[in-house]
Parts: sequence; structure tokens; C-alpha cells
Amino acid sequence: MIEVRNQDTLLEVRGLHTYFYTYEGVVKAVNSVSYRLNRGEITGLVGESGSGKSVTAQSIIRLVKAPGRIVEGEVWLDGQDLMSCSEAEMQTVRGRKISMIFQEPRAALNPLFTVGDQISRVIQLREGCSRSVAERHAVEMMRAVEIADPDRRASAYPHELSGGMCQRVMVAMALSANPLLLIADEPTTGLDVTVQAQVLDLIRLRVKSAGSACLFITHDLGVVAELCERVIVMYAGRVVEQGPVAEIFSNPRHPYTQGLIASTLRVDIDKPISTIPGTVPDAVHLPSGCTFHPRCPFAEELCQQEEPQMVEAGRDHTTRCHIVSGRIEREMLEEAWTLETA
Amino acid sequence: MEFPTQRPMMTKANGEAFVQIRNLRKDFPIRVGMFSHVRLRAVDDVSFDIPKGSTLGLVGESGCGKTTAGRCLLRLIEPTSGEIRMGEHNLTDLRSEQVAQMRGRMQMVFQDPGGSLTPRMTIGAILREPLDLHTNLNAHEKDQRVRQLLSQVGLQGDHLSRYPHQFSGGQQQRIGVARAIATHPDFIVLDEPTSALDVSVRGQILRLLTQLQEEMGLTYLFISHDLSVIKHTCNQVAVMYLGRIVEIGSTEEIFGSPTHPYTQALLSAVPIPDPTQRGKERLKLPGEVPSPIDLPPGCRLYSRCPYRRDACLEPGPPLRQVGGSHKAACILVDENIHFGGGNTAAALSRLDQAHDRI
Repeated sequence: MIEVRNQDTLLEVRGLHTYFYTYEGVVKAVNSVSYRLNRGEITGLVGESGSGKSVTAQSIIRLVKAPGRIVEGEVWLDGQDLMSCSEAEMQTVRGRKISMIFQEPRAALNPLFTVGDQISRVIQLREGCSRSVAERHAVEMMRAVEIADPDRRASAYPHELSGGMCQRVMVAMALSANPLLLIADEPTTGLDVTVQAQVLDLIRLRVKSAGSACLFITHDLGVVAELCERVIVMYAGRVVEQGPVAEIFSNPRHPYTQGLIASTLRVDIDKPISTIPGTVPDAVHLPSGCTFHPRCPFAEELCQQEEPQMVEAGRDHTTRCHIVSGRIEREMLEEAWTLETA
Repeated sequence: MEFPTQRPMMTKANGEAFVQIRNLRKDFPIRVGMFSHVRLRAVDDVSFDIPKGSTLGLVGESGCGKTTAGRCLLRLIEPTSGEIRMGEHNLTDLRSEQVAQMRGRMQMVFQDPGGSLTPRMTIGAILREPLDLHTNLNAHEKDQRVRQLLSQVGLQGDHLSRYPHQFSGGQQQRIGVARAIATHPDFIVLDEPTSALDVSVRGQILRLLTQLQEEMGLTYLFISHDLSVIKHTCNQVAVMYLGRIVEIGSTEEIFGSPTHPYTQALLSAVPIPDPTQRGKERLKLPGEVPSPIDLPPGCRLYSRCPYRRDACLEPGPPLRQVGGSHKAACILVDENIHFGGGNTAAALSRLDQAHDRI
């Protein structure tokens, strides 16, 4: 069982809207998203491509690229309102309070500096210490993320290291600032499974020992089940369900979450291949009402007309569905996902 | 060449090998100085059979040579040595013009669905191209066949005049599949066909592939790094590591009683989407896949294997039979030890017993 640890909130996101103003129209990449992250907990943010999970993370650190803009919403980190911070204040927040690990470690590292240099620069900025002290500290950080022979590897350039090794360097760099919040955006997507297991262990260990919070963005439910305490499921810019990991996996209430779990193949058990019919909607022309209704096997007329509100679905578990709220009386059968719906 | 529009239903895996690969080897020269080269052996002594109408999964991590092996099979790249037989033909003996003539019978579906479709051609033109190259159908028959293909893969007739970018990833992959089956091939190499797709769409493509296999009696080589996809689509599985097959057997044998330490580690590293399974015992491999250049002659896993011993450095080890069609290339697997059960802990203790005997 997953025990409930420290319950105090570190980050609170309230009513966040981030829109992209494109030639085709307005893309509501993040649409009225609210959630909390607790200290010492890893929260999984799950969704498919275009669900807005990465933009949510970019909005927290206020690094949304044009034509995107944070339209409204509040982000509170440890009592500080990030939306009203000046750019200079945000710079220190990004370096010291929030660190980020990106999907492509090679693209995120500077190819012109050795990895030791890049880690020690972070340490120098934070501690204000001398370069030689920072360099020694950088080697220790590299040892902590289980890089073999860190003294030699510190003077390597990113291109001389493998993808897994670069990702370890990213983790070392992100954690050397001792952040309150670690945001990991698909950190293991390009890695092989044996290396993925190592990197996940590392993130778990470091987050737990530092007592920081972690927002772990992924599309892989397996990784969420292994790593996270809480789950937030996003679909087409909205949070459709959130709750404790055990609860979400054993008792998913939103049809999208159910479909996602049903269509995840497993190596440990045999089950028929399930699938969600249709495709992820076009971001500019989102369906009316509940954005999931064209793909939902339980949808009724109300789902096309009216957008469902977030409702309680259990202890510390909320979802956005007319059936759960009781507006529609209907049973959600698991078999619905295994039926052929070409 | 003639193409009957409908082939008889084939039952899966009726025994006789349709695709036979023997001692396939592919070396790439890697430039190290201005004039000198070293050899990178991407595929090393790979042999397997695929019965007609069945699927063999080729699984392994990046750089293990699975894609190179798949491309060698179709002679999209020339193998250095070895023999490839498909039905009555020995592909390795054929000249390149003859191979070109065979292309209609062996096709490929690629990983990146968008990148494998020409952006300047309509879907209709993309699907007509293989018919132009490999069949003698007249214009009207081609038109009919193209429409038939679209409905076979679950797309509509009005999609014909559209361009690839107007489709979602899942639809693009359906087009890739339609193009591959256009000429009624016997054999298709599927190179990570679902890796670029979202989870909710992946199932649709896998179902489509299985359905087409049953309808058309297709034989598949399914290349993937994703063990859960392999488990649900393949009859047989071959696990590759650094160019060699380290374990091969039926899907039940590989997933039920993985024997090679690498297969065990690979399987136990796959995250299970069930929080109640958290904290299960795992066989972890330290480090990463070493550089494939100038490898020592012994077991390729030596640098990472928790059970290694000096004997592992001797050339080999060959694939040895473990049971049925199940073979593994590990010196700890001799005839007296049968590694059964999917339980890693039990497998570990059996391996430990094996050590004591060596």
C-alpha cells in the first residue's frame, strides 16, 4: 500500500489557462487547470500528445513560448505568488526553487561546455562559492547519480556521453540546486527500459531524501504506477481526473482514464488488446460539451451540450464526468473497451 | 506476376518455415582515422525461421541490430554473409534487379508514419505507386484496388485526394499499412509500427495488423523494443543484444520462463501499470550497453551480467536448447538445469545453484 506522507502543499495551481494564438485560431492548451503538489510526493501528470501536460509545466516556470500566453490563473509556490513575480525574481525561482529535467537531455545540455562545468555553474550560482569548490561538489553530485568514474566524466562533453548518461547529468544538475520542486518532463521516454529503471530509481531516491515535490510528466501508465503517489490525468487541455495512484488504478471513474488503463498492454498478464475509438481531437476545433464525448462509449446527449464540472469521486479523488456527478444515470461497463469499434 | 484478390484463410503457425534466416551477418566499416577503419558487427550470426502466417518478434534495446537485421532480410541493405530464404526463393542468390521484382511480395511498415509518406503525394497516388511498379492492372482496376485498400484499413474513399499531413498519426500509419499490403505480399517487416503512436490509438493499429494477417495469411517480422506489444502480437520471440540473438522461443516460453539473464533483466525492468505490484523483486543490470565496436569474442552481456565468470569470456556461447523450441545463449544453461516459471526470485536461486556447479 502507498502510505500518505507529508500532506503540506508546496505548489498550488488555480484556474490556470494558457492559450496559443495561432493563424488557425486559439488553441486552449491548458484550460482551467487546478491542482496541488505535496512535499515529499511524486505526482504523475498523464496524458497523450496534445493534452497540454508539457504546457502546464512550462506555465509553472513561466517559460511558455510565443504565440502562447498565460491568460489567467494563479501559481503559488511555498507561499510565493509566481504570477506576480518580476522576471528577475522568476530567474532565481527557476534556478533555486524549481528545477526541470527535459525529455531530450542532449538538446538541453550546452554542447560547448563539459558536463562538469555545467553542473558546477549551477552550484556556484546557488552557493556563491569558488569555482574549485563548486567543481568538487559537481563531481560528488555525479557520483550521487551513479555515474561511474565521475572525475574523468566531469571533463566530458555531452556528445561524448550516451543518452542515459546525459540524463543522469541532467538529474545531477537539477538536484544540485536542491530545489523545492522538481519538474520532470518525460525524462525517460528516449531511454531503454533497463536504463529507464535506473533513472527512475534515482529520481525516487533523491526526491524522497530531499523532501521536495516532483511533478512527473509522462504518457506511460506503467511508470506512474511504479513511481508516483498521486496522478493527474489530462485530456485536451483539461484535467479530467485526479487522485491517489492506488485509487486511480483500482477505481478509475472517468471514461478516458478507464480507456487509457484498458488500452495499456502489460507484460505480466494476458488480456485482449483494448483501444479507445477515434483520435485525439484537433486542438483548434475542440468538441462541444465534454471534449471526450466523441470517443466515449457511454456518451449521451447531455455530454455534447454541457461541459461537466469537477466533482468528488472518492476520498481525495475528483473527476469531470456527467455520469459520476449523477446528471446521467448509466452504468460504465468495462467490456465497452474491448468491443471492436473500427 | 499474378495477384489473386483473395487468398485462402491461413491458420497461425502451421509449422513449415516460410522465412528462413541462416547465419546472417552485417558489418559496417567505421572510419577511425584518415585511412583506417574498424569493423562494427551490427548483426552477428543470426538464424531463425518464421512459419507461414505467423509472427516472429525481434526485441531488444537501441543499437542491438534489430532494425539492421530486418532491413537485411528484405535486402534493403546488403548482408555481409548468410542466407535468407523466402518460400522457394533464396534471396541472397538473387541479383538486385531480381530482388526488385520480388519487392511486391515482401514489404515494410516503418516506425515514423508521417516521415515514411511523401508529403507532396496524395493518399491515392501513394497507394497507386506500388500497383504501378508491381502489377499489370489497368487504370480502372488500380482505382478499385486503391479504394478496396482504404476500406480494408478503415479509411474512407474521400480520403484519397488528401495529403499525409491532413491525417493524424494513427491514420497515417493505417496508410502505411495499406501501402504495404497493396501488392498482396507474403511477408511484411513491421519496424516499430506503433512506437510513435499514442496509447489509445496503438491498440487500433495492432488489431488491424492481426486482422489483416488472418485475412491475407501474412507472415510478419515484428521489430520492437516494447515487450508488452511483442507479447500481445507475436507467436515467437527472439531477444537480441549487441547483434546476437541471446534467447529465442515461443512467446509463452520467453515470457513465462525467461532464461537468459538479459531477457530476465529486460522483462523485470518493464514498469507494470498496477500500483499494487510496486516493489517487486527485480533483476537489475548495472551500466549501459557498451560500444559495439571491436567487441571481445565472449558473451556480449559480460560487462553487465551479475552472474559472469571467467568462462563467459571464451568465444560463444552458442544457443542451447532449454526445452521445446526454446533456446538461450548462456553457459549457465546446460541440459540439466531447466529454468521454469516467471518468478525472478526463483530463477535467481536456480541460477545461483547453477553457479555452484560450474
